Amino acid sequence: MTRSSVHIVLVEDNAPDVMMVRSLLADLDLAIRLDVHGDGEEILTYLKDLEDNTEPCPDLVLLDLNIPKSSGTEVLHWIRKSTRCGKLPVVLLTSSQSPKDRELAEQLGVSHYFCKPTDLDEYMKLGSIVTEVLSQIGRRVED
Amino acid sequence: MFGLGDAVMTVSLGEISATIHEDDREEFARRTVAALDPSGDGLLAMDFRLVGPTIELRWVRLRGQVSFEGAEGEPRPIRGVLAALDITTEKAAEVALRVSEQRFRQLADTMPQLVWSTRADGYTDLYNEKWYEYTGLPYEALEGVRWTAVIHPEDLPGLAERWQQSLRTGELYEAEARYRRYDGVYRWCLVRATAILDEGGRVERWFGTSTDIHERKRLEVDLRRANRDLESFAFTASHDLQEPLRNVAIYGQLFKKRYGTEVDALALEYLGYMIEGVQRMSELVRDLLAYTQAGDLDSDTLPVVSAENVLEKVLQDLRLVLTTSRAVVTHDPLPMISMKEVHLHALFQNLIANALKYAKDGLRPVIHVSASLEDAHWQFAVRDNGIGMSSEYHEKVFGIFKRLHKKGSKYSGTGIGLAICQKTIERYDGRIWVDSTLGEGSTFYFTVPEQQVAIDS
Repeated sequence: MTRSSVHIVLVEDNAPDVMMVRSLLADLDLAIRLDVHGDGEEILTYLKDLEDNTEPCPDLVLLDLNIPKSSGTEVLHWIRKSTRCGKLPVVLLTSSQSPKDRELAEQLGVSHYFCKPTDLDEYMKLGSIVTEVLSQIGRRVED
Repeated sequence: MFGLGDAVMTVSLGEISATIHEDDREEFARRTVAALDPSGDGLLAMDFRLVGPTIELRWVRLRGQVSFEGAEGEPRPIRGVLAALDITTEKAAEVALRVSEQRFRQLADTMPQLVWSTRADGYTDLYNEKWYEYTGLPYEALEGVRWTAVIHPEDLPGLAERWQQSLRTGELYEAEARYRRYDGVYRWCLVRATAILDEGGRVERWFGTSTDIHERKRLEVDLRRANRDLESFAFTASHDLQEPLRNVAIYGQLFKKRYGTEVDALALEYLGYMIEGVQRMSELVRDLLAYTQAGDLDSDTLPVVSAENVLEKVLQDLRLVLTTSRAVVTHDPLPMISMKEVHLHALFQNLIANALKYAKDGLRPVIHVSASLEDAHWQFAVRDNGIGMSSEYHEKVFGIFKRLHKKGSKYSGTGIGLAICQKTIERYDGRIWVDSTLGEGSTFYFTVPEQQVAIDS
């Protein structure tokens, strides 16, 4: 099955942050299908369903560490343990600059650890990070 | 030793009596008369003291048997056989033992702990005064193995096992258990006992103490809870507090971007204050979090790190700033020290970043790092040629969020760096201070004990 757009999954519960991500992804020259899951339960259900069916894995997961009904680290653990989508690139979104969180993320393997800034221009850089990660996995689709 | 007749005995008795210690004479006389009495068994047994020709006292054990003879129901003593033995040495040993026991008792009763002693088989035959005071029980309720009634039922099995183990092997006995006090309250105690060996190396006796450690235990529990609370607070601080701050900051900027041309300059100024305000708050929250986590020692062993290597890493991290300011950083040979790398890293980073930040206008920053051994401590010094500070601020500068320059001045920052340094150093039982004159640079000193003691878990 061929797809014409990049499939990105965003796990984030803070509405303003969701809007920001939508907006900066829209600025990129890519056809993107964005799925948003607002809590740990939603995303884990989605991932478990993926294990059982034949749908292709998403191309990228943007994962916030601080989500209700679970935790970003638990979701990350789950993704990495998955037989189908274990190697899926994950960009961690967080408000935390705590070295402990960073260490844990490194251990579990993330493509990028993005600390959400209070400066607008810095925040927009998430867009180029996404482009970079996608190009690394060879997903550059012109619409 | 000598055979006696009546007359001879009288004389001898008198003679003997004269040599006997005056305190024992009466008893001697009494017993002799009793021995000579035909209605008795004629046995004479007594230990008494002789005052010999020299001043020294001797103990004599006298054993004798008087024989009676006589017809027509009127027996009379006719012969006595006596044996006298010098038992001075024996007696001295007995006395010494008694004195020693008395001293031990005195010591045991003075100690604030509960002191006890058992035979080699574990039968407790000695308790000090404190035992009775503490448990409110008399000896009869505690002797032998009855003391088990005082131990909390949940702790008894574990304790009994350790005790049995020690009884078998002779090794040091140590356990923690709750003891029931006279008022029925259970309190944590630390029990320790060592074996006393005889000449053959066999266990002869056990001596032990039980110490009330209830307060200490309670502090431990409180501390653990406080640390757990601090960890959850730290998590909240990093995520939940930052989110709303970020919302305001980012959308303030988005508003400015999108609607900025539709409002006047004053409106933009107001907007600017709002955005700066929450950005500042976000920095403060971040730094406060860093402060609470500063000097975190979550493991028992302290690694040994090369201060030179750590300094090099810090200079690498700061290379951009170093290049733009054209700063020169030099150092003397630096030692290996016992500290977590991240902590030493934070110390050097804060001090050098400050030295760069508070440089004099137009003067190339020159920074020098050195270390010397003073009084079993490594004393590090970070010297700069910057703006310095007057002595009234030498202590204040280590306060949390304490800054010496206005917000918005060219010297930015939240004022947490030195507070973090101080908290970190204090965790290592070291000190940090500054020597500085306004206009003439500053030297920051910090000390680390040469040998760190490993922390018991």
